[in-house]
Amino acid sequence: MTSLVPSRSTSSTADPARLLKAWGRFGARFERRAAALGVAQHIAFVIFAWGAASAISALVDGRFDGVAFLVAVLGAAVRAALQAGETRSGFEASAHVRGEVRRQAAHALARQGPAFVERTPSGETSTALMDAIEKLDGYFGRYRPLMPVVGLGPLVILAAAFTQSWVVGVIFLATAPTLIIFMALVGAGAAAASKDQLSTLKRLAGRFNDRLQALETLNAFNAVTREREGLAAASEDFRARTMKVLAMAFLSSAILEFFAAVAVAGTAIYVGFSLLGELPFDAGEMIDLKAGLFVLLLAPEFYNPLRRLSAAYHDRTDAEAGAEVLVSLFDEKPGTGSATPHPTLTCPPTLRFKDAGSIYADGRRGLEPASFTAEAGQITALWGSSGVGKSTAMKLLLGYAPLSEGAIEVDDEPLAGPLIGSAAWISQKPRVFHGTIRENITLFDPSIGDTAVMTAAEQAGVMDFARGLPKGLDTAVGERGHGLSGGQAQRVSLARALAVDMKLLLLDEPTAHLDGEAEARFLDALCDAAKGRTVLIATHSSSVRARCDAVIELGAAS
Amino acid sequence: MKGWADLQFFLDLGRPDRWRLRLGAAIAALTLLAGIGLLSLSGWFITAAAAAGLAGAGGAFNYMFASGGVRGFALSRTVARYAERMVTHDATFRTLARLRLWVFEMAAPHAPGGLSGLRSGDVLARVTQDVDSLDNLYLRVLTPITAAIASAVLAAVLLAWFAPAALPGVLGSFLLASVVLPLMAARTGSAPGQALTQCAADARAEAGDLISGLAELKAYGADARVIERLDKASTGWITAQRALADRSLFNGAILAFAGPASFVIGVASAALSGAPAPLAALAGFVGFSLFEAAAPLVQAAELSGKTLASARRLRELDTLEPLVSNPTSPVPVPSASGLEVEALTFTYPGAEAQALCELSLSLSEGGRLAVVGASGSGKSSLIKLLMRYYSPQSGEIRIGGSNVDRHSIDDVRARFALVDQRAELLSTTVRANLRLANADADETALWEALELARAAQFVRDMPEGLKTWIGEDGALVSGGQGRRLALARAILKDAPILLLDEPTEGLDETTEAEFLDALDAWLDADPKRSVMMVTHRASLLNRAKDVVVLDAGRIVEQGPVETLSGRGGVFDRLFPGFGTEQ
Repeated sequence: MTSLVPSRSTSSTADPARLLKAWGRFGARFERRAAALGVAQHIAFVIFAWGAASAISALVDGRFDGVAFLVAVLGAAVRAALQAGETRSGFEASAHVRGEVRRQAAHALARQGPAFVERTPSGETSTALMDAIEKLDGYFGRYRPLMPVVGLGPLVILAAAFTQSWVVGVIFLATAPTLIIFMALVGAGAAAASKDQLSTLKRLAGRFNDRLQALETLNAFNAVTREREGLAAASEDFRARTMKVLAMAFLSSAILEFFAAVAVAGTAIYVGFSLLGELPFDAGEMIDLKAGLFVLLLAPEFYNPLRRLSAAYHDRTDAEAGAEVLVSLFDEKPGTGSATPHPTLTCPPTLRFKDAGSIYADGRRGLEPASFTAEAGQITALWGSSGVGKSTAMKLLLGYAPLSEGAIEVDDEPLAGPLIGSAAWISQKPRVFHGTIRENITLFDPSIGDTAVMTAAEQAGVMDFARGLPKGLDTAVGERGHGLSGGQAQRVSLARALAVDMKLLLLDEPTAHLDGEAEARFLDALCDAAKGRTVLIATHSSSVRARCDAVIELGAAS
Repeated sequence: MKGWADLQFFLDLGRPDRWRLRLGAAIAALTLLAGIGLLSLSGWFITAAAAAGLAGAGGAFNYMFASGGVRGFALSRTVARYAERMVTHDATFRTLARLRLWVFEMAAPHAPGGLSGLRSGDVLARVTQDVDSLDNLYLRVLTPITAAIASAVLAAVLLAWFAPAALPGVLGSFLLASVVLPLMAARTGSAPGQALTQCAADARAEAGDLISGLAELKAYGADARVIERLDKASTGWITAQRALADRSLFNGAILAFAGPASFVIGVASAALSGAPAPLAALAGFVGFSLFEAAAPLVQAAELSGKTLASARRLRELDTLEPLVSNPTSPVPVPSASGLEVEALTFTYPGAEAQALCELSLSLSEGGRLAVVGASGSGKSSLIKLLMRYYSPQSGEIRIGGSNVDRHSIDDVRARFALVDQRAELLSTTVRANLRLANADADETALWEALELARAAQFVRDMPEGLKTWIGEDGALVSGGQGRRLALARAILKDAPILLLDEPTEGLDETTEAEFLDALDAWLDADPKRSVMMVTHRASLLNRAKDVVVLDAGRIVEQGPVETLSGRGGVFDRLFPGFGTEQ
């Protein structure tokens, strides 16, 4: 079950608008190119219109002007090529932005650390890294490169029109206030679709998916028929509300269409009457057929950029929604992840906690001040009910939780930084990475030799099951490969620690999801591996406790 | 054409809205026709006016007709475009709603067991996307095709009447752009489309690794390596997108060229055949404006592979055989609620190993039975058979002495209240979640159930109490809280047999003890209430009267709790030291 967006602090350094602005520069080069090509298209169109108008007016004079036809065809071909170039440059702008934002988001995530993932509802971080970034596509690929085209493209057309007829130029100009009305209506449409409205729509739209995923539960309560009626009502409600929002959006583009059509009609009528000599006023200019056809062809093109914008304006809303999801990721508290690691440990350390306590960034108390010592080379259990801070105590050592008070000493020296590279972390449900078993042991580090991997795999009991697999240690596992059971995954993560010879092992309820047999098998391997290492285990399993050299009861004394 | 039958099926599903869809298509055609009329009449008018002006015949020229027509087309085009959008969107929402309900109704009887057997794997995960991509079928395929045909007919009539020489060239190039180009787009688009899906899944897998494995990765300083892998996958994904974008780039360029080219073809071919200049201009403008109709067809074709695949996947729902069916004439379930399971043997569809083998047990009214065993020993399978999600290959389940096969599935399910490991909550209000179990429950009953499940306090603390929206886009509920809500819901159902699958996973020890005390009290309140709990927690075992130990689908040990420990069997392996620490 996923749930709400983490509440954003008011002092946030990142906000969606600022992020979007900053990301723009990753694709700026291509964005400029797309815009230039977009404006150039209008010039090519003017050439086409000139050729076409010349050809027809020559026909009226009884000539067939092959050159004019050729100019028209070439103008059209160049315009098509420029359009392809514009679209392609827009794609590249978006691709560069998305690629770079994803890279930066991944680094930001790594800096923020596991605490961030834990306090963010399940699935949301993955949505941020994948879908939210994809939502930026339209904005950077279409909308932004289009903005200069909307400003300059019509000017090109207008200038061309003015060279032939100031009246037609004025007709175009007079309809230009459409732009303002259009924008105002878009604004009104957005207001109609206020935040509340949008979240109601989102809930209604999400209902189908939610209920479909929950069919098993609905069946268990014989509630399918009832829920079907609820769904039908929600769909109807959704339709009615959405149509209201759409009515506004469509109205604004209808007005745009209207003015475009009025401009074409007005141009045609003016040119026609003036050619006939039937104009009711004296325009002070003489229009010939060539000029008349030329401006007639230009008329629809004058509105084309705006029309494209009206098709793309939701791109911006989409991108803002995407950026909104990413804000929390980029909203880093000063000092996160910047600490230099503690010098690498070369022999098993003694750990001493002196009234060490932790309060997380979101104000949650992770650990009440605690004092204890874990002796070098021993297996020490951290014992206590859930929520007492067993795993926080271990996270302090890796810098995953902030040390808010007290002190921690390693071999009688104060802890100088996170024990990155010195301490292995084995969690309740170790992640099986998308790769081979070997890669899961080396964590994609090619410098770890074959012998080290084999020895570690043997010692951690990985070979017990890997031997039976078709490709042994090179069997693909993880999300898109062979599935490993909980116990097997635990053994792989133990082998990982042995392969790089970590002197400190931190295990967070390693057997919580294992049944008795799998637990016993894992503990055998662990005790074997613990020789020459300091091991800290957070647990509430009595069988784990029984194998430990020392037990520290957290939350009992204080 | 392959896949046509699937499309036809969904077209038929849209039948109740066919008049709305047809109206939308008709108005769409009108919009295009008005566009053709506007531009070609204008072009003809100007050219004719020039010719008339040259001939000094301006006064005789019927310009009132022409200028009126131009203004009429301009206005009708605007109105028609607005009406078209409103009508087609409204019709599409209605059809989509019908499609969603169809999917829901079709999928419901097969959940959860029958859906996993579908060829395309996890159907439910994709079904929403599939339904949405079928919206292409109605809005982006049917409407544009109708409109394009209407435009082509009008253009053909106009040309045949006024400039027959331009007809082959203009119509020919339109057919190229509206038939050949879309067919090519449909053919060449499918391979990059598949590559795209593959690359997207790869990138998602890497992101999942980074997120879920962050604690491990950082400890080893390996996070940078996985970020690099993610970056590579992300680049691969974008490369696949580029390949697909290049296709539509090409199509777009052809379309952009085709309109003006058709203008030139129209004018030139008419003029060369000796048509008067105004009619040549008319032919040119007809050709030019006709191409507005072709663009949506190419876009529809680019999406066609996706639409067809979605139609095919959704169609599978229609072909599923139910795993459990109602008897032809169901009889009422007896009021007694003793449960007996006899010689139950069950293998999952498509699996080789038996999940349950000759399993027999009984749970009398008021009984408390714990079912324990290693993971994969058949505990959850037993619950799924009791809930009638699957049918056993042999053996019987009896309630009140009567074989469940003789009763309707709903009646049997009404006898059980289940809290499973997932404790799934719907994304809606707390109240609606609870009322799932009992639609008529009043406030008092709801709060009573919440109290019993130790959930009343945190619900009271929620911003809107029972009206608080939980789940997606709602308030945060922790794993432990979610489980307690699910328990409250089960209690509210007030079924005679409670089925609990690891009910206290995620609760701390104090809450667990409190909850178990409350559960005891609730069970004791009615001596007929019985409970079967699947667990690997010793604290729950203490509340059971009898224990059944499963191993590889068979019962290996059973009896009262206190007799099982210390025998050196499977129970001791599962609960080492049980009884000694208490």
